Amino acid sequence: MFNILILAIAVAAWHLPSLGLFDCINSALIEDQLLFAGLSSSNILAAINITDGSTLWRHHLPNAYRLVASKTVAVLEYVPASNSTLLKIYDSLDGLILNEMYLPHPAMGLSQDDAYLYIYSKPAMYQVDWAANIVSKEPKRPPPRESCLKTGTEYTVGDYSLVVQPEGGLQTYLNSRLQWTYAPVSSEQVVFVDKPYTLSSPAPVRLGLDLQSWKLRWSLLSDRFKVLLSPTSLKRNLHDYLESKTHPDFGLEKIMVRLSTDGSLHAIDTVDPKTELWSTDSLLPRNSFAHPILVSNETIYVANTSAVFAIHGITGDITSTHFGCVSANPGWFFLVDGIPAYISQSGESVHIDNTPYTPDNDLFLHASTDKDVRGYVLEKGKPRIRDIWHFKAPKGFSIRNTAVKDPADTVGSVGRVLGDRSALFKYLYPNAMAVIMVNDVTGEVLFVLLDLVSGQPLVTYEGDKIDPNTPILLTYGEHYVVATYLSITEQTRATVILVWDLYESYKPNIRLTRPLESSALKKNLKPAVYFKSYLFDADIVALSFSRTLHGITSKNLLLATREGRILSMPRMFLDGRRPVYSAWLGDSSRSKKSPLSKVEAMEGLIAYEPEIPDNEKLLISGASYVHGTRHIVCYPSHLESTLHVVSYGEDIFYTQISPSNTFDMLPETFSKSQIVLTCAALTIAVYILKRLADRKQVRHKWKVAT
Amino acid sequence: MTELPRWYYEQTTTTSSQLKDTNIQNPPGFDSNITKTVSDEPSRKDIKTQEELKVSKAWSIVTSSAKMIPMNAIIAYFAGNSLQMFSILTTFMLFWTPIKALTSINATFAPYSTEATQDKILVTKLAYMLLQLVQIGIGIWKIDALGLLPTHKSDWLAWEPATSYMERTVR
Repeated sequence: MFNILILAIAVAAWHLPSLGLFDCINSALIEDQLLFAGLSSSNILAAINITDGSTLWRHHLPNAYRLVASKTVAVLEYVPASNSTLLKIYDSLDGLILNEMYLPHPAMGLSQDDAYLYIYSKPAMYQVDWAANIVSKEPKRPPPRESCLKTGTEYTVGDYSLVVQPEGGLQTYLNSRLQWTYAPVSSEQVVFVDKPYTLSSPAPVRLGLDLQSWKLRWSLLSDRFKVLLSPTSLKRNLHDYLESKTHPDFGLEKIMVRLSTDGSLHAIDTVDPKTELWSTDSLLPRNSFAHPILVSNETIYVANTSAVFAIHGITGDITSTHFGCVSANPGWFFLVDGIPAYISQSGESVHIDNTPYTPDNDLFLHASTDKDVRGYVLEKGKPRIRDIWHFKAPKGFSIRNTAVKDPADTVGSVGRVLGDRSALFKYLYPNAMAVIMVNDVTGEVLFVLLDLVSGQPLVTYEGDKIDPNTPILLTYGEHYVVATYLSITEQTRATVILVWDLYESYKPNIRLTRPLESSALKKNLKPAVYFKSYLFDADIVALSFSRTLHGITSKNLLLATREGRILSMPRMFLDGRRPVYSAWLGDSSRSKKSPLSKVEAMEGLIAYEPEIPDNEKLLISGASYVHGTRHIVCYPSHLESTLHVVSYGEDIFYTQISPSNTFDMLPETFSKSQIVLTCAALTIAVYILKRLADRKQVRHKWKVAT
Repeated sequence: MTELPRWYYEQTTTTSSQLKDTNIQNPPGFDSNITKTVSDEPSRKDIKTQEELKVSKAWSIVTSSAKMIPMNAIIAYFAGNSLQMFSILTTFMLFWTPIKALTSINATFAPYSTEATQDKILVTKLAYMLLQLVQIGIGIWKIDALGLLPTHKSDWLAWEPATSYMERTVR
């Protein structure tokens, strides 16, 4: 995998751009500069240096469809707004546009000969020179069938020979030796594995006061001192890496394992993404990822239709393979006390070592399709699941998206502090699923919060009519659900963000669930809902809420836009409780100048405005253009203030964010020696002055006496 | 030898008899018995007055601290409800002064406490203690006004237990 590494200004952020799949039709070799130019399947126009495989430049051209190249690169781009065509000529070394030509009708093809370009369109065929000037216009002719390059064939460029592979990758040979390979990067899932602690910086353990502990303390201290004195050098060898890597402080360094779309796993260090730590062969059938990857301690579990592979997260070795525990039937693959278990919809429930799995208490399961959601239960002591409820989408509606809470998400506080110091308790029911449905004909939106235990809808919301083909994204945070979709009307084009804030009651200081152990089957657990909708000026393609170790830090909503930006929006903009000021309501406590009452201002609310302003402060991807994001994942570190963010799909972008600033880290400018010196100086001053003061008092008393 | 004159002998010799023997007549209205009524030892009536004085002095200490209370209350009221230097200082003094007074209560009333006055001084001590507690009460009210007393639900939010739900689902 050879990519440009763009280090953003923020600490520890990096971007692995993807180029997509190259095909033979839109690829060309420029022999003078030893370049390969290609227009990939993801509409990326890129130039790759043949000698080392590095990407010289890349552009995202969403409507480009045809490429030819000789000394420069010519690309045909369709302009949908005016149903016309643009011919763009790029410089092959730096990717800047040299010339442009506009054709008022769509073009079907492009070809070249030594001196000219030929554009084939419905009315005529244009002969164009490489400076984009029309030389002549001839009657319409069908475009030729030849392709630029053929897959599997070696093309010689200087001393090198390049092969465009049928899968869309590239290989280059020098004197029959493989020089570099380009394999398209497309990630299906990303998980994190904690880096190991080494002897030089041990894991924090509680040492007692016995002699053994003191001996251990001494040996750890002397080891650390030895490491400090010896020069540390980054070693590429994996063995050396394990032995001598710097201490993974505070969980800010992790190993990122991604599942590629071809079913193989690849691991990189978040500190040094250029080097791949390990990779496996294709373990899963291509594009069929029924079960998520599970991570338990340092082991990664991957399930395909017949076996479960246990892979060591640090070394990449397949430590064990378990057959017979999973099947091709739909089912559930999850962790139970750190060991994966599989429950099949039709068969039995087993652990991966083929021992039967029987839960201590009833376990409720669910499976959703685009028309319904079915609920099952695996009862205590029973080997098989049974149906218990069935939720059907109303007639004409189809389920577009579902979201459940992340079970690993910790909650910082069970209530929200209001301005008058009362508490509004959050609705933290973990067994609820947000379901969003759209009418395929009329486009009506229907939102339901479904109880996965009883199958009852807890919240129902009927929304506006939208375009039935628009995708809707959904995410469920701590006690709020956010849905987004793009709304294009005659007047506006904006993303609509719907927010449902769930609380236990509309009145403060009231808890819904008493006694504190609640059962959804015995008690109605309906939340109090605060709903708001907002408009945002960007096309959103992926959503996720931030997640920290203890849940104390403010939550941010991570968004990926179609223009390639990753944004981090504080949740206070998306609060369902933002108070609305309207002159019609006649509320005397508010006015246009001061729309918030004193209590609301104390709580930290912002007055409701339908638009969420888009500004540079939200941007966390810097100058990078992040292409083709499909998912965003947040992962906590061992520090409460900081978390890891990865967006993946085509490009992989990684960064660390601190939504409430780094309140638990000393700044780099903090000088420990200065504070020690100040304390020492103050102590000395106190002693000196105390003596002086005592002497003065004694002298004064003697004076008075005489 | 001639005799010296009489005045010579009168001026140079002093005898007790001569001192006594004066020809000065008592003026009219002079009572020679008047000096015989004054004596050095105090009488029973004098002792009683002193005790009363001590008790009244002790009560004056109590009343002076009682006069401080409305003054402290007004100062506390005008100090404001935000955490500023002045309001912190006044609140601190509202606690510190009564506590110091309470710890040194015996020392304060020691000069007035005798065997005879002990019971009455005890009453004054109790009244004094009560007034200091009232002052501490004002301090507590001030702290409540500043919002530092955990009297609301949100102050105890960290102790609110999270509900555990009996049913478990698989994501």
